[in-house]
Amino acid sequence: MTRFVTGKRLRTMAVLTGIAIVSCADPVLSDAVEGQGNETSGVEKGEFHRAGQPCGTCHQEGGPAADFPFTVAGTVFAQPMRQVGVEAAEIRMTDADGTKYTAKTNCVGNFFVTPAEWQPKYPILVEVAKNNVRRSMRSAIGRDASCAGCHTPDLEPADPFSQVPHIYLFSGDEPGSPEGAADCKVDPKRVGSP
Amino acid sequence: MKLEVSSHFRLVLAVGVLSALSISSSLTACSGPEKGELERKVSTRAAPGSFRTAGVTTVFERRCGSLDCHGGIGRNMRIYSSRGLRLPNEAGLRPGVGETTLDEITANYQSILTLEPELVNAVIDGADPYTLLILKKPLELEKHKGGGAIRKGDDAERCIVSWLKEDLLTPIDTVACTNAATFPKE
Repeated sequence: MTRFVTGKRLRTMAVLTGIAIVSCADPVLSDAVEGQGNETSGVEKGEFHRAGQPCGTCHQEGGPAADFPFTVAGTVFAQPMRQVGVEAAEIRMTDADGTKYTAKTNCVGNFFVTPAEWQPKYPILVEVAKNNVRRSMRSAIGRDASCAGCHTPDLEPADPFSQVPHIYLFSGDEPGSPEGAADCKVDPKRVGSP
Repeated sequence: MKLEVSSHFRLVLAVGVLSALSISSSLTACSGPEKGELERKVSTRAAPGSFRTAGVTTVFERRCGSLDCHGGIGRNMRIYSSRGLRLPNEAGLRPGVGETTLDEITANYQSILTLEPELVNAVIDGADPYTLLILKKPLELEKHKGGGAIRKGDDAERCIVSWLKEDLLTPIDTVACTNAATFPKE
């Protein structure tokens, strides 16, 4: 009476299960992840990778980096027309409940906040500061964990009516280190930047 | 001769009757219905004038219109503002530049009122404003991806509700609108 599952049947079941899993995936998220392109050559996955890109695309529930999610993350560059990361800039944030959190950028300008560190209630107000320079965002962040969701990494936004340029702190070169931090493990200048 | 007069008279009579019929039908077409037949209502609720002058648009712009929320081109109830999404223009107005234009305010008004046109009509007729998504969503009376953009009892709620209920006896709460428009606090 006992019926054994043959190898052929097992394979069929595995294929069907695979199809079911794939068909349940979020196609919008999949497209967004794919749209981020490959890793930059010479920069491993980690805190220095993909400067200027929307971190929350992967670092969210359901994303390929779901095991390391962010509540807020982004990149601060030094100049408006040149994408060199600013090290040790403070990202001062205040959420709708009035709770505050300050994150700090690494040597490529990346910063990220994990849920264990801070789970803000949107909207969030933000200002970026280093030394005596301070720049406040005029509008609040409504819900997007990625700064680059609105602040496009392209030097010239493709749609100037719905996108804003990358985040920058200084109007000219960063005082003291126009090429970025000298002791950074990777080049603090974003690939493709002038 | 007698026959000629008679046919001329008939011709004049026919022309006269036709003219009279034509004038009569024209008058009927242009005149309004009998008094009492149609009840005309002029409402001051959810008026476009107050939307602009009292700053209701600014409340929606600040609370809902950031680029990552209803200022996103993929989102419904699209909101334009000086600090968020801009209507395509040749004046160099980009996000963060200049003021919200009259065209953008008009677009916001249309966006908000056409989200649920039948329900908005009902509210203008006196139904409960809290049946509308523009209140249920930000107050989180209904699931809202953007969370609670408005808190129960705060200035933004008072402003929007007073705009939706505005009439001669209950004017719009301009103080609440002014306060709610200062967001985020600067």
